[in-house]
Amino acid sequence: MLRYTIKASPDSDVTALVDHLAVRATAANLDSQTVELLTRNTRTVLTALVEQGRALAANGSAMNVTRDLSGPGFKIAVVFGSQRKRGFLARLLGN
Amino acid sequence: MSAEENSTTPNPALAPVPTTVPIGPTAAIDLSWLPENERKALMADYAKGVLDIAKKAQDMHVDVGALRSTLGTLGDTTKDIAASGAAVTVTHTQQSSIGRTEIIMGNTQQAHKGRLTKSQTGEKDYTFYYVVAGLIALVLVVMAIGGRG
Repeated sequence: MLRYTIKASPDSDVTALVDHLAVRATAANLDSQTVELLTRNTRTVLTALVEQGRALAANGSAMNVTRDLSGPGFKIAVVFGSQRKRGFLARLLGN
Repeated sequence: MSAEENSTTPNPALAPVPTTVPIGPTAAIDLSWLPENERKALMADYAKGVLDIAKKAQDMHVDVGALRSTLGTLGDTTKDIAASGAAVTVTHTQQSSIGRTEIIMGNTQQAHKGRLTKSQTGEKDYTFYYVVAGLIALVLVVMAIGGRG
């Protein structure tokens, strides 16, 4: 069973994210057709999110999207945020 | 009666049971050593799996297309309103057979934080019921303590 969360932002490298998904899906013993299906659709979604996120950021707006996908043998979440989430320590130090 | 006879008689119009099953773009397993009825059962399972994947692919294709279209429409609307100097927060929740997608965009603090309220996600907000239940429990405890004294 593949459980995987993809975190993306307008600065993300879609190819690198999708390649990593393919590696994880293959390691989880998903069949090649399912891996191809997941990577193709995730690439399309991430490309659309990054493009729209950049266009909105240039306009002073933000976009946040969560997408949960599930099927036989996989459960994938895509979390897209226009703003980089800062950790507790970063917030505490004001960075 | 004749229907029963027909169901047990092999249909000469049907294609013969394949002797190989593909397991990848270039590889296949040779099943010619298996008896025909076992090969038939195996091929039926294989075909069912292929059909399941094809259906999932079609569902995903439709879902991704709808999401792209929605992102474009919401994005254009948000950009137009923000460009006019007004504050805008747009939320959208999409539920399909393959999963759930939540979108929030705009130029407000809520949009930048990216948190959808319960009503925006379509979930039922039970906070009021929890508060009422808590108050009733508190009254019962006070009454029980008061009854002892």
